[in-house]
Amino acid sequence: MKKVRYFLYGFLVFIVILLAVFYIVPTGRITYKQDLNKKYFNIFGGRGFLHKISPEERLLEDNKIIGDPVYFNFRTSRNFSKVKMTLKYKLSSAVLGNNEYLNIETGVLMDKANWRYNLYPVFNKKMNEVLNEWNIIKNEQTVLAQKDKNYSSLEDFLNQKNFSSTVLYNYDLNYDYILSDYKADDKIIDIYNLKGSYSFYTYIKNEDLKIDFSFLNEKVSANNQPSIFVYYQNQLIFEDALSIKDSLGNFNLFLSDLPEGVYKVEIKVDDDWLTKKLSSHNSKMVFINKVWLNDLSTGLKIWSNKNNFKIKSFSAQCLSDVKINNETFSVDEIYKQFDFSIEDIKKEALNEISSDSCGLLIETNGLFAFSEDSFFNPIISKLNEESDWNNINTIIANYEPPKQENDYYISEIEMDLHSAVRDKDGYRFLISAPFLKKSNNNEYIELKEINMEFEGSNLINKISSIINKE
Amino acid sequence: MIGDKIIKYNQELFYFFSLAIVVFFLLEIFFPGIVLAYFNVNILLVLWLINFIFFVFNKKD
Repeated sequence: MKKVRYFLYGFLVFIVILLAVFYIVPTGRITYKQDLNKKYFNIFGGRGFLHKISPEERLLEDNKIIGDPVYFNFRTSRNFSKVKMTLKYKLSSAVLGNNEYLNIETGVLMDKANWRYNLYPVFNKKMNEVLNEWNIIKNEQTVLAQKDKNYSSLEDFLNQKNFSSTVLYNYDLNYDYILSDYKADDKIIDIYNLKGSYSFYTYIKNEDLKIDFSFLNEKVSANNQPSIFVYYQNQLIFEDALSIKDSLGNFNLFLSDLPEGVYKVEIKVDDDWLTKKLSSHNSKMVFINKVWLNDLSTGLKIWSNKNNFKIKSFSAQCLSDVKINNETFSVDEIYKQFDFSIEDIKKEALNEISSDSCGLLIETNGLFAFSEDSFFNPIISKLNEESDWNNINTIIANYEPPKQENDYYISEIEMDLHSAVRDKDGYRFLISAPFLKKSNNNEYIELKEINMEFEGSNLINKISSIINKE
Repeated sequence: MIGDKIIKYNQELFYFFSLAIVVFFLLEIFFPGIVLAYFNVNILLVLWLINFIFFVFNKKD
């Protein structure tokens, strides 16, 4: 009987050690596999690591995505520094047939307050075509695709500095954008009542970076204080988290001895905060992708280099007509996102957006300025649905086309998890497929398998880093 | 005699299942997900219950 007892307790000890090893992951590497096509329920199995893909209304049969985006959590037992996600999926024939531009991305949550994800490409139909048909030069992960072969290496192309017929896809190009006719002046740009987070570019030449902010916390809570970040050529050169005790607070951003060039300023804050006033002593200023204005008394007038906008009102009092150049559109429902676009007849020119509304969220895949004089465009276009293919001769991309296995595609995506959010529900991921409009059940992405290969520091490195810290 | 052996084995199994439940419960409290991610504990509880019923009805004073 003793033998049986020893065997049973030995078995329990073995199980506990096994669970501890899976929990600690002493080697720093672990792979989780999830077969989403599995229709039977494993009665002995645990709840697994992939926490249900949601929201349910964007799914058919648990693994067919019909809406955009969908989210899922991966509950890992510890932190990891990177993950290689392998997705096996099928695109329905209706999806392939009905959409000229197909772009699927996945991402991991980096900032919970602002709902910000780092996105990585999974599938891009245009890029797949380009990689088959154009001249390709590969430099590690980066691909230089040329319609006509003019450059023999990526380095040669980057040295020539003319990027007017170039688009980027999942690639950040550091280049010295110079405004040749720019002269610093004493003009001050005042902008009022910007809600939530925002980011903008400004241009500096023989002057200081000087911007004054006045913040108002509409809910008078001390949580999520505003943070300011300044980047030069994609490198963070300044950051500060403000500590505003009352509902009102000021911050004067002042950086001197800066080289000439474009600087990106980012304000991260939750939507309860309002920038009551922003005064820029630098005369060039363009907002990136969105402006959200609130509590306006005299309406709004802004300029953009794009011709299509997503506009939303959050208050019934602010419902109003919006004029884009000479065309008038109506925003007549709150919380509804209106898509307005005008014919792009004035290439290279700015489009004027004006409204008597007391506040609107206006978004586009481009830039906004609060005066025509302050506009400048330091960014190289990114590949998207509206890209003008007749004028594109070169694409620089970080993209690996998916492998094909019968009807299924297999994409491998490496993601950096260093600053990713991990809470009690684990890491949060999304799959974005903007072409899925939930309107047609024949258009779907069928997910078959998700494999996650996590990698982090091993037990020895972890222990030595703890000892070194002490 | 065989009946006695079965009862003794059952008794050992009962203690084993009881200890396993307590250990898994404590592990899950201190390290969330360590057990439930891999194993459906309901199965263990059902086995323990069957064992318990058998144990109670065949217990010798």
